[in-house]
Amino acid sequence: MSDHKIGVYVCHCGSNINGVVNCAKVTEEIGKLGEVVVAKDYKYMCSDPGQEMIKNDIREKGLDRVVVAACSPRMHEPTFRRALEGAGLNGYLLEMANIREHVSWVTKDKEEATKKALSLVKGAVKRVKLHEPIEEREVPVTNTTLVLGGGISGIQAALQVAEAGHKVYLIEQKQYIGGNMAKFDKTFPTLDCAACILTPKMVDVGQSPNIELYTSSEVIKVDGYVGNFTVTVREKPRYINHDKCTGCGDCASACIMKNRIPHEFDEGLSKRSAAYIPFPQAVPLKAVIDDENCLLLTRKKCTLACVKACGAKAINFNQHETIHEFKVGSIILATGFDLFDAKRSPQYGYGKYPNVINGLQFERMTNASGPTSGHITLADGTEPKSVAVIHCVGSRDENYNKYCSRVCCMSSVKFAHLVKDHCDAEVYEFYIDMRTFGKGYEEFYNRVQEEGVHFIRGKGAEVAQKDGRLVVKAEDTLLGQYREIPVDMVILNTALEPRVDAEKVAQTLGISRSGDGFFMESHIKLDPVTTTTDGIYLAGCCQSPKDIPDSVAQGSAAAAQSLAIIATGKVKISPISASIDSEQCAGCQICIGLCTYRAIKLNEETLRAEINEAVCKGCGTCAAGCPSGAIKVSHFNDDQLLAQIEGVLA
Amino acid sequence: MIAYQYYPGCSLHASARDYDESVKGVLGCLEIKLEEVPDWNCCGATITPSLNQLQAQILPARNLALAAENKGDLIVPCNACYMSLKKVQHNMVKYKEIREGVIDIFSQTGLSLTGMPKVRHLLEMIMEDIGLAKVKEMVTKTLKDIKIVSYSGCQLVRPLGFDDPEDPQALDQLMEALGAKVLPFSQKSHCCGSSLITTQPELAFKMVDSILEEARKVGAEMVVVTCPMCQLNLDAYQGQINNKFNRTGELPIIYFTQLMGLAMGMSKSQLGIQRGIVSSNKALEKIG
Repeated sequence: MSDHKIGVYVCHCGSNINGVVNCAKVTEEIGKLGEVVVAKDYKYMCSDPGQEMIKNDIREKGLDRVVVAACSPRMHEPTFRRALEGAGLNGYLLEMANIREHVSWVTKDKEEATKKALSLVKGAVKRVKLHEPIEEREVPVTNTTLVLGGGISGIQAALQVAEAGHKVYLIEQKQYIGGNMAKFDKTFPTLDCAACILTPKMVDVGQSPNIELYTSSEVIKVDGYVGNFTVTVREKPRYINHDKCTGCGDCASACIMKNRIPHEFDEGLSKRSAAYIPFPQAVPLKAVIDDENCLLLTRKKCTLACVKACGAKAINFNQHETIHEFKVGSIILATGFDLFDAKRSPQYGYGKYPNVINGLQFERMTNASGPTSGHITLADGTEPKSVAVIHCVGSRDENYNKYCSRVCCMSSVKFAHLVKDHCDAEVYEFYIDMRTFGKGYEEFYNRVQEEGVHFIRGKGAEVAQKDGRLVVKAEDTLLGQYREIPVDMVILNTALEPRVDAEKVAQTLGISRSGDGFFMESHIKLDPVTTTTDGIYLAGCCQSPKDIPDSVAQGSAAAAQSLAIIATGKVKISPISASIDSEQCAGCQICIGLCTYRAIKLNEETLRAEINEAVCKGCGTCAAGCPSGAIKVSHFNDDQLLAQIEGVLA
Repeated sequence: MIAYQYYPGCSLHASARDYDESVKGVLGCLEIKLEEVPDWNCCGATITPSLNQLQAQILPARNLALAAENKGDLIVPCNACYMSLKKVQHNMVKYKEIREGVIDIFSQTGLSLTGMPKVRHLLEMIMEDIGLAKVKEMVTKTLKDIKIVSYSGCQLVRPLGFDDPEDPQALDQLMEALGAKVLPFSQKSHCCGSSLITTQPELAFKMVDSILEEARKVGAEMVVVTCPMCQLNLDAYQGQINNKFNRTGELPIIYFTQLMGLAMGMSKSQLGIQRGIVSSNKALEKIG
């Protein structure tokens, strides 16, 4: 019955597949099927000779369908499609059977594995007969980029796209850019001053003609698809006219709430007014009025001292929120992290004992423009004589986050150095393992060891108060002994966590999160910058905990992705998409709710669902959910799937 | 009337009769019926696992099998029994070898493992099924700000227990509902040393002293407990420990059910309060 000429190619993948699956036997058995003209096995099918073999067979034996039994199609389907196209065959006349991830890597029994591999290949042969040639589509792109998040990785990405001559919209939730790095004093391993290396970049952002900066803003809606997104941004009022404000701070000094509100930028270690300048190097260097604490805005009653004090007449309480709409080709997400709330681990006494602080509070304390002008002090104003640093608070802990937060070992070592440098106290580091893996990191660790810091291998178990001092309890696993070390100050180096609104952002942008809650990359090793949604890229700690060098590198990488889209001027869109037979559609709208990519809309006139093929990812959820069977997905239609099942079960 | 199965454990029939009396008194007032599991045996406590792993599973498993024959959650007043039973339940679900080992031995004795009851600590049941509102309603004689620290002990909250393992809240909330003044206490879920008090007294004495010393320092008039093992260690050894570490000030160690009973208008003798070694008469003077 078959009038097709099918070639089947079974890959050994070195010993990855052939170590478990008897590839020669699979090849021999499959070759017995009538429509299989040629069946071959080879050590590395994805290699040049492997691909050449397929191409030659297509040309010489006139193959019109190809099955490759190898790894996951996620990895090499594009490779083999190109091979088919190289020999003049449409790439979609290929079917891959995944006998590595689905068989050899998950099956121990060699006979069972070989049987399963053969079944999968038979299914692929049945299926490929029903494949039809499909043409890929291209659409033009908008050459602007939106960067969401103005920390170091977002700044890096924005500057690189802007320097290449393209427009960037930089959206920041806070009233200033700089993110967490702006709070630091020194950075490891070279101890550069954070402000000295970050401030010039922040200033560049403020001055770049290609960057439009929107602070106090958030993305509320994203429509469209790669190359052609429409992003809606809500900008909250600051009650300050930016054009007039000179950033002098007179309003802050005059505000009657002065020194009454815990200052977020100082991690609560200082008090601010309701009208204030976030920090001396803030970009934009403009005053902010905090609508949660301003007496006029909350109680409609105030002496308006700030308005009287402002020489520039920049204060305007009639400002309202503004909605902006931007057309962009790609989106770079650089939304950063939240610090683990140490109160969730009550055994460490954070929030209970005033001299138990977290890492960011210590950063502020050592910062020359911070709450203590750079002095390390206890709550009573004196200098500590001994300080403990507890690693892994909220990280590497089944109760909170299983992952390693990656930056804390190095920042802990930096804290120890800074304590030694500022006040020469004894420092005790409580660690599980020291992870100082980066360039120059181990050397820095060695240097700090030589400065006389005590490294105790054992996680700090508890912080108690005894006779007016703090006591850190831990099992010293090198001594094999339980120890109680009295100290004056405890620094809890807490985990980096996904931002509290990560789920909302993920839903707004239609991207996924991994099990740890961070945004998910396309491939953890080979594609750590792109998301599973084309045109949306990741940079910095929103993907996983990272230090500054890695955040900067990923910021640049994300910028390169955006620039690549702009440079090609058009994007290829997967031709696999769903289509609706409007005759059969009942307009029930079940599919609209099911579509993660928001590709389906109801046509208000015909009351039938319509699919935007450019947005559709061809995932098939709508087709499976459609009660009237009106939706079909190309390359995954019912006939093809049933044939495949039939082949597997045969 | 809600019916529960009751696993008192060895202590409540011996050294902790006061706990047993107060449990029955209080639940009687609350119109809750407890049906003791017929022919129950020792849970093996913390000692058997160090001698024989299989035996350590069999002892609690037999109690679970017996309870499975009747209806109702299994209520356990002792932290150590609670943990032993829950641990075995967990092990049998998670580890095939243990499950099969237990079934094999059961088959030799005619026991079968048809299902497993839900194991709950008495405090857990009171907080979840009765609730603080009902408890408050039952209070006829408020504890008048009697100053206490609540000491939940370790096995109530970990590894498989309920409540926050580092900073348990249930006992605090229950005591506040009775009108007691609950003082901040950092060692709520620290270990009392358990059976080490007999095998390694030096170590266990240090552990108990640390608990008592903090309780005294924060100004507690009594320590409220949920476990007969904790009670025994903190109460019976208190004289020896105070001598050894040169401490002054006796602290009565009282079961939470005894304070519940008092607040609900029961008499000290109904609740076995006179059985404590360190007398609580002085501490309870306030409430008459």
